[in-house]
Amino acid sequence: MKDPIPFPKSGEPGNHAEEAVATLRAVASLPAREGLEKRLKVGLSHRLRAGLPAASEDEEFGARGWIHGTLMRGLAAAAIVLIVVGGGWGVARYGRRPATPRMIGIPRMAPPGEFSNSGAMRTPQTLTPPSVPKPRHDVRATDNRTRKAKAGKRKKPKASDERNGNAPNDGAPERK
Amino acid sequence: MEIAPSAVRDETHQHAEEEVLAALVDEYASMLYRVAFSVLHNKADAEDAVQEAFLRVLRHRDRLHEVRDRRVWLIRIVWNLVLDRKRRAKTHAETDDIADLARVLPAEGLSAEQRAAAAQHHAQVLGCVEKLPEKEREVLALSAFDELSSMEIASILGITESSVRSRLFRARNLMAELLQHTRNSR
Repeated sequence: MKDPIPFPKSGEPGNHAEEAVATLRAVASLPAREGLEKRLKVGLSHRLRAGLPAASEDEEFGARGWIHGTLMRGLAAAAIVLIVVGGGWGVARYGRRPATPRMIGIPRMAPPGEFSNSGAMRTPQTLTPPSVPKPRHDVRATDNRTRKAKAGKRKKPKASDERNGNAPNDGAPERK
Repeated sequence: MEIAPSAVRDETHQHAEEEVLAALVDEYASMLYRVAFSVLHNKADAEDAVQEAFLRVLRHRDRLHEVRDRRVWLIRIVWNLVLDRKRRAKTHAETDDIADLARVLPAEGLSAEQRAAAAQHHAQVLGCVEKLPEKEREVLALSAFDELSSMEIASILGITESSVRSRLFRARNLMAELLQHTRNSR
């Protein structure tokens, strides 16, 4: 029995689909020309008497039995293995690169006051730090500034000192 | 003159094979023809395809007893043959074939005018079927055969039953859209 066919839910599209199916059913029900079976039987009988070989006889492997088929398959498999192994050996033989010397890491001792490398064998080369150029000094300007600074540092005499009789020593020899 | 026993055995064997084949032809030839015709749209080509299918059966006659469902097996052979033929013959336009086919579709009890309109409608539908994607078209064509269940269609196409159902659903929706579009554009 024919299974129920899923239709689109409802409405016009479903009707269109049904129209299509009706046409296809009409095509599918068109009968063959009269005497189809008879023509086929005559043709087949003729071919059978002419000696149409069975598939098991005309197939290459079947004609010689399963041993031949297995042998051929085994040979093909061996050939594939040889090609793969040979190719791999070729790559290994000619494509080998000289071994790079192994780097021996010497533990770097951290200079005092800096971070250590935590025992790492190798530490990546870090970027060189940016170098800041030293500012160029104007010699005369520097001298003037220095002189002014020295003058500013010279102490003015305080009133308490004068009262106590501690006059500032201006470099003159003290009188007694 | 004495007849060799092996010759008699061969003759008997051949006769038995012929009988088996004749029984298959009687039972399935009509159905196979209709399947072939639904794809090829040509009587002579469809008959050739059926003949070729039975020749294949003849070639595999030794394994015939291994086949579980002979009907599905035969339809599958014909189906593959006709699809192959159609692909090879895709070079020429199919418009004439479709118009011819639409004219021979049954239209009993209709006036000449109505017949012309029905033929036009069938041609339109068949033209839209040809525009469907291959997978959807195949399922839709096979679903038109009342004798085939969705499980049998699945077996013929080598897919699952759920795939048949989903493809059929898609095919119907696409057909509806195509027909709507064709009618709106006129």
